[in-house]
Amino acid sequence: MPAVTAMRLPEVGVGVTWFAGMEPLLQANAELVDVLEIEPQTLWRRQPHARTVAIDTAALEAVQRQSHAKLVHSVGLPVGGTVPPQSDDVKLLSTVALELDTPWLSEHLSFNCVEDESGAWHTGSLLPPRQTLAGVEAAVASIRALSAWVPVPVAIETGVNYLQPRGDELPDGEFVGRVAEAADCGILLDLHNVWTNHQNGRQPLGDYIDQLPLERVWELHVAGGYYHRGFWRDGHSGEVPADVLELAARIVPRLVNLKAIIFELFPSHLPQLGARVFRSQMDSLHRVWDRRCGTAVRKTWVRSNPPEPNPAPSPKEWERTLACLTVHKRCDSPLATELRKDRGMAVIREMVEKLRGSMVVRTLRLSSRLIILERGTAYLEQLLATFWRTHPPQAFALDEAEAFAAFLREEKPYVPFLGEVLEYDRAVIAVALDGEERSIAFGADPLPLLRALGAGRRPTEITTGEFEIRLTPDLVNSQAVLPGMEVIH
Amino acid sequence: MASRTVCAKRHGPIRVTLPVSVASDLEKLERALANASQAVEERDRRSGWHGGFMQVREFVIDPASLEVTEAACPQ
Repeated sequence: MPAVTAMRLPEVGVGVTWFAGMEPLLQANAELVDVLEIEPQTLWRRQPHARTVAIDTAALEAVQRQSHAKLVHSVGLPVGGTVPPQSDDVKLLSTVALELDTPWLSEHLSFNCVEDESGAWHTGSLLPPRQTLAGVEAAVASIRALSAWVPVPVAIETGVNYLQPRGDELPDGEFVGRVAEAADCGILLDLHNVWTNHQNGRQPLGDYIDQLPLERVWELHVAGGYYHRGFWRDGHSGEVPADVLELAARIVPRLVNLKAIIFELFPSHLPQLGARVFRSQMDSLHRVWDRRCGTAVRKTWVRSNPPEPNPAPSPKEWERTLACLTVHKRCDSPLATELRKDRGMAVIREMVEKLRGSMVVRTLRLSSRLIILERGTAYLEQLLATFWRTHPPQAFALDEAEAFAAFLREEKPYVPFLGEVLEYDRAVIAVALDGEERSIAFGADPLPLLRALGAGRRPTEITTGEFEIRLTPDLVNSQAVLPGMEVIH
Repeated sequence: MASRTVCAKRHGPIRVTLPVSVASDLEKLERALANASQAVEERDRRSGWHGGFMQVREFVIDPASLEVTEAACPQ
């Protein structure tokens, strides 16, 4: 069954993660980029003053204009947990899959949403699932729910996990293998994730690979990362480590159904990487791609025999505890005590908070600058830290920014003009998104005020009076104002 | 930290119409607001003192050229 599915899938080749504005890079490397991988959530926009999400048609059309093959790689509807993807989101995902004519789509074997007495809430990050047989069952149910909605085959991505391995869980490779076999789906083998896990003390690479049904691997991901506070981080931040490239070269001949290799890179790291290194990375990946061969070397993959098939905690308890610790919600269970001692917990929290901070700073741009210029960076960090302890993460930058703006209005920190500048920042986003004019009243002259903030200077000469900025809609790239959903993955 | 100068109150409301494409691009915003400040100052110099009567002055920023014009009949 999987072999038949895989045989029908086209070989799309070597590619890179798509981001807006990368057209010149693609033109300069036309012969080296066969396929673009699109994270559909980057095309989604939360509508202001509504609980709905819509596809940004201009952003979608920009992708469609590219002549490359396209692969859809979802980063917001993970299938490793007990809460299956929600139908509204899956409908959007299906639309993007159809519009981009992707031969398959991939999603993470992780979780990012939990349900408790307060309802369903977002964890702010893709978190590792409970690796037991009950965890396998939960993941399989989520993958089936997703597969039932989408028009193409689904592959699951092997995730990064900063926690230390546990004696009561299945080994990483075996967990992925069991899920893929039971759900009858493909595998997106992220070699940088697996290598990162190994670097940070989890399963050795060789054992991991031996536990995977390699004929199910349709796609490889490679990326760069960095060391920080004793952990290798999956940062998508530049050059692929030589060890990862070597691993890719070794494993590709064993992947009889490999259809694509993707270099993952966050756009903010491209200038640092440079065009020349980008080109040499793509060149290396083509050499790896050329090593594939069509003959299956069937190998029985290794499975352990867990003495206790479903040890406590249950997948639900695992997810709630890990999510609560990640977002600083109160949690006093023995598992919470145990996980607090795991150094990986601090890494997870730090990454979530870094992402939340960047969402606020890039969305409430002038307000953040005003706070920093008036009171200092440490003061903004202090405000954000208090905010994070009392407000759960949001999937969309708009929601995160709105929540932080509401927090500031309530906290009333001493920052002159903050109320007006906040309203201005919020209005810019709202007008860009819904095209409706908005007016913001100022009790101080907004011309020198906003001009100084725009240039990164503290406003020093201010005239009081009655002023109004009327923001009018015109052609604007809404992605420049407000990116889509952002996820650490 | 440098001190701040708070100047005397301007008479009459001032309204600036700013296209969102300019507002969302900090480089364009800086240039457009510099032009707007200059236009407001020139207008103040030309028209002189109005005895404190309310007089709405409206300035419109062009999204392409970033030039500022004063609206003919401000509301």
